[in-house]
Amino acid sequence: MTPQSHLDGFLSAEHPLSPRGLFANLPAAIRPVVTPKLATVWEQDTAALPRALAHARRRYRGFAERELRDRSLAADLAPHPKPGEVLPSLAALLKTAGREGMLTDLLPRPLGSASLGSYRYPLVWTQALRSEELARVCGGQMLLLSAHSLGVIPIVFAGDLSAIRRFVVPAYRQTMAGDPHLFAYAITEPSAGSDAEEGHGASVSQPNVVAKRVSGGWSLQGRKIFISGGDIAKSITVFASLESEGIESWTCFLVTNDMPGFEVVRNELKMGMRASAASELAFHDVFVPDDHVIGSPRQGWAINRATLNASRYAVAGMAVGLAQGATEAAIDFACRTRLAGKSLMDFQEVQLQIANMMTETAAIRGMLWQAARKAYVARQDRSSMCKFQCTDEAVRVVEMALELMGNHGTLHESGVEKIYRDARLTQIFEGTNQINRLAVIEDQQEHFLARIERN
Amino acid sequence: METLLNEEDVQTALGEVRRFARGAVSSNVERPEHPLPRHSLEALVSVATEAGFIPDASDEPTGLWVDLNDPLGPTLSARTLETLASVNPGIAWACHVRAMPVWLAGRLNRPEALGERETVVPLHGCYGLGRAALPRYLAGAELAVDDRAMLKDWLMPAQKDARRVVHAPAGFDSVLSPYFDGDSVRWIRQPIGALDPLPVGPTLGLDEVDAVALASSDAGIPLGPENPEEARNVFAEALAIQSLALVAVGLGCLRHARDLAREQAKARKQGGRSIAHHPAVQSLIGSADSAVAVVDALLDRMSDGPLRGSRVGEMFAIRADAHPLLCRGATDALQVFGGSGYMQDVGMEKALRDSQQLRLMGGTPGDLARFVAEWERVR
Repeated sequence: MTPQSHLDGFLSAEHPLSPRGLFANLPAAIRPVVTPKLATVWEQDTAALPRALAHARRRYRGFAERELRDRSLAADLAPHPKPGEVLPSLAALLKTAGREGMLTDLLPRPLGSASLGSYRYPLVWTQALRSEELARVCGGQMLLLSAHSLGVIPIVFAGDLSAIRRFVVPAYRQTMAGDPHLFAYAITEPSAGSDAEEGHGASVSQPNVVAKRVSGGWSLQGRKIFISGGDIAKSITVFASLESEGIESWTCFLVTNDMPGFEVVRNELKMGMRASAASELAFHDVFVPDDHVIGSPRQGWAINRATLNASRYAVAGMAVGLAQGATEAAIDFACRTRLAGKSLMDFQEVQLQIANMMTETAAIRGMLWQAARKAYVARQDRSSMCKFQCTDEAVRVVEMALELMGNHGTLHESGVEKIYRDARLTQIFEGTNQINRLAVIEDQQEHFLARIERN
Repeated sequence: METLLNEEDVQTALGEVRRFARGAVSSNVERPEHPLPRHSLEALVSVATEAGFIPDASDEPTGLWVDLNDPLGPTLSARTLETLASVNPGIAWACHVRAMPVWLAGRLNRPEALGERETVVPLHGCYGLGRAALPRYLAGAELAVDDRAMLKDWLMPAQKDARRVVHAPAGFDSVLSPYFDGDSVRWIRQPIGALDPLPVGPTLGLDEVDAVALASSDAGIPLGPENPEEARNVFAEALAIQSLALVAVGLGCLRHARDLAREQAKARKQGGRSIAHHPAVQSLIGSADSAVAVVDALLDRMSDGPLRGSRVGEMFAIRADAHPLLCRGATDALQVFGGSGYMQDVGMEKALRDSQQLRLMGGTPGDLARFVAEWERVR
């Protein structure tokens, strides 16, 4: 069978009117300026990154293809494990990820696994690249690996070197040796979802987890819900109000899962991202010694907000990866499916849809990278803009992929219906997209107030 | 002589459907995180058939899609499905899947078309909606060679691994397949053994019904119709019925999701007050309300008067916009719940999955819009 020289509606590269051939005939001096090398969008984007980040991006992609791809659909279908249990295939993944430095890249070598070169660029950029490449292959496994980093960030942002030395470094060593010591981040409470993520709501919210002063430390009482990775984390950064005070007194406590009174009540049955559990945690008078306070008492709200400002870039990265994964699945489907003797890729309506998906994905990636490359200080307005725009647009891209595949897209084996279920979470966690819109305004309110004053 | 339905008949019948939905159906689906056991589905379908909501192979069937020549017949069927879907869209769709073969066998005047057990009618081909060839055929325009090739391959694909995905009741033993014979879309009764049905596992939505992928085969007993005009009308009517069913089930699904979102907004407090008072939440609920109101009006329009194949273009035009609206309403209703909306025990994620599943079946909004453009051009 003769290879197809061009898609329907297009000219072959050898056609006299094809720009590729015509550019080759231009003067040698101008030829390099007008003649692009053949390269996929991924290759173009990676080549545009600084060398250290391009290297990291290739490494993340390699890891995701090698370790996540084959586990993806099975991990999604498997029944949710009981609290504290993890599927054997995912336990093996965590060990491998630990050994390969995928769980320890918030600290530089030799304390962690990040290269010193990567510290020339904002940490949130590296984290966004990582979450993109992992989510491109599997949203659930990406969350399993990323929720851990979210649990460590408060310790880093507290600027508490002693806590880093005592809690993070030993856990990282253990993890890199193949025995994963995972962290989780616990802010959401039964009565405080959005209230745990924006100041106005927090100011009137009734806290659920309360820390009572006792001799030598604190006693924690209450419940946290929807804690990603909370079921298998050995260490959890728990935010609690001090007795008789509101969220302004929030303090970050490092709770370990062997502390008496700590209980993983249950794992939620989730729509997607099912390789990672969302857990309800109960604290029954859990004694937390003073040296397990991260930072100082009453610094928790600030640490929480700083953590969210950083992690929202990573959520935007997840969204870009999910959009990319859906786009690639749709392209693959269009190239292997034939109708009336033609590949679907030959049909103009399919070409238009794929061009839209590629472009929308490139647009959100561009927005994210543009913001992240300057995010040495993680600004709330920028991170929230990236979070809601990238996640909303990613869901639209996944819907386009579903539409392109029609009822074939609804099958689990297509992979795209899973991406849709995974992507829907990105519009909710790390603050709903409505809360993130308001976060943009909050960060800019002084400017608005000044304009109101002028008028 | 056919008895004409009046408004009172319709309301009485719908009242019975409502009682069935809120009673037997509702008590079986109280836990959205647990898929309905198939034996429970079969039991509910049996009750619905005995109650006359789903037609059977008897001489005088009653229920879904039976009275389509009656001016109020399409309304009764569509609102029956909507009522069932407002409790559980998957069960409503299972009822529609059971009713279609009975309608088709009656329409073809071939009662023997129904199998000894269950029969399935796959209406959409292997992919899309037959591109521009289908509207040309249904509008009676002249078909080019490419159009004929398209219709043939769409309904009975030549690609070795191409399969048609259909929803099928447990234990089905035959399939009534449309095929294009070079001139008309006619029907063939195929034993299940000829189609090598493969279970395809879970799908995005409608957890209550099983999907199977059918291989391509021309083995079976031809059912006609012989008359080309009649053949065109039967296929157009079948597509119109399916459109009506998809929109009706989608509307019921969104009504349920919207009602849950309203209850949540009333009960949940954030920022020191009920979230129903927050403009962000009002916008989300308003979006769902607006989608319900618009699609409700569109369903009235679709089911107005006797069902005719000549209205398939109008049906498709409405579907093309109705499903994106329904999905928007469902996703906005889910967002009202924040994190809990993502959890299966609340039921919102199921409503969203069901809405998306319905959007993608029987032609996507893009397929439908392109159909309408060509239909309007050539008819």
